[in-house]
Amino acid sequence: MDRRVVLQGVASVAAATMLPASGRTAEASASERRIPSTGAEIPAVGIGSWITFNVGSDPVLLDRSTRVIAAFLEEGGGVIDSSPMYGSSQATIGFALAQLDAAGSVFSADKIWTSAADAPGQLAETGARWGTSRFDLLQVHNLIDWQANLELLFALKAAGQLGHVGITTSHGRRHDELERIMASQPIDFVQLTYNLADREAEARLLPLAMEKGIAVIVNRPFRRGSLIRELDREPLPAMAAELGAGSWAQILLKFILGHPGVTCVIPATTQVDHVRENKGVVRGPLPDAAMRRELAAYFDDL
Amino acid sequence: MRWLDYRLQDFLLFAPDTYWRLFEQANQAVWPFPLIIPFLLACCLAARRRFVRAVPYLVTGLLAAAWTWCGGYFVGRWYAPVNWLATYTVPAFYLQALLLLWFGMFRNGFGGPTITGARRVVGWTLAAGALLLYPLGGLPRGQGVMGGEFAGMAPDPTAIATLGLCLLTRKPAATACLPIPLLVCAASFLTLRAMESWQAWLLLAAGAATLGVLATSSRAR
Repeated sequence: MDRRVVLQGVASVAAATMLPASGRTAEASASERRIPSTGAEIPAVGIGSWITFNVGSDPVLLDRSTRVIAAFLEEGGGVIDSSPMYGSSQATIGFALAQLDAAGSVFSADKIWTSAADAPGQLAETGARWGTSRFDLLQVHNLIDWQANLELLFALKAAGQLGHVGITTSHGRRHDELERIMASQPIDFVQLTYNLADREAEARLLPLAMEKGIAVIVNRPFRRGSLIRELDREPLPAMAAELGAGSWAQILLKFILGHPGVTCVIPATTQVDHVRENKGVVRGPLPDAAMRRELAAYFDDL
Repeated sequence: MRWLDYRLQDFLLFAPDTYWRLFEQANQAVWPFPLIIPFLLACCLAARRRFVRAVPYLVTGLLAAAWTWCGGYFVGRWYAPVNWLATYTVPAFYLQALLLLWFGMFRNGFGGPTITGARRVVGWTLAAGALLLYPLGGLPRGQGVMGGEFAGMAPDPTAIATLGLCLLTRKPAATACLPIPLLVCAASFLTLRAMESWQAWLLLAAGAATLGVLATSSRAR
């Protein structure tokens, strides 16, 4: 199945993404977002693989991961993000995509997590684990040897062997350096941590991404689940009904996707129900700037 | 890098169910081999008075085999694919096996005068607990005996059994066999704490009891 075929199913909604918000909610919430540098569109909710897909050769857990990816594809697919750092996650993704005969139907995103000297070997291993020779996006993981690694990725992109180039950080670390890279390098994507509890990116990085036309992938939307565990003890905010959110997980995702600088969020999960719940957030409206401020204030007061 | 910002959980690469199922799979693949080393070690300890000369050598030999198998099979074959950090610990398991062989061949192994007092109680508790009770840890998780951690297969009971047996001899050379098991206890404590498992406290208790008894013994001397 070709990725574009999957994307066409929701193409009509995608157009709304670029429309101005009307009323309190951003009706332009849309399930698809445009990558500024290439104009390609990707679903706003992708899937991460940190911890959840690191299951070794366990046949039971490999099957569970395959069911999760199958549900992800049924719900529109999109970005699947991994890294050589994530143990066996890449191999799990490759296994699931092969089982589902869906190798070309996702937006494949992975990373270089080594020095530039070792990067070609690592990329070859990464491709073998995924079962692909061409990635839609390759990122420099946590800014490791970023100058030389970005050079390598730009060369691959220029040769037509790579769709997009990006760089990542997480946990709100090294934002100053990330900002300098975003300002000076022609990258397509930046990946960073942003959620109701970690809002540092709002100050400079997200506005800079919009200004420079850099797509933003948001990792750790639930702080590895701890945000949901903490918030599930609290009542949902009154605006949840207005947003069509039935859980804190959906509130958290809507908060992130409501920011106009965010292209995609990549929650990780081991459960099919959670995939559907995560994907469902873009079917309803997203909060506008005022609602997002209210949500942040509500969260800060808890 | 703001290392203080990291939480223990940030270093955990896998989910708890993935970790616990490793033991089940590793045991299943070679069943009933995981029972052999705990069984033979228990037999040696039970027969230590009847075969005074042979048992010390057998115990060190079995422990050396346990560390070799644990490092090469469980850590290298099963654990390393989900925790790349574990790859770098495999040589330490082999080093511990060599230390035990040296202890057995050149220092006559786990023999000598009978230990008394708290050191004896702690030594026997750790050794017997690691060999006989630790494998039952899989039961509360609903994994049955197959999901248990056996000495000679899983690092934690192997380390605890080694600590216990080292405490049951007063030979100074036995202390050379303590650092690696203590490091295993420390590493497993951190891993299990990150997983919020109650078993973390067993590792902490085993390590603390060993160090406490050693400190008391050295003061009394």
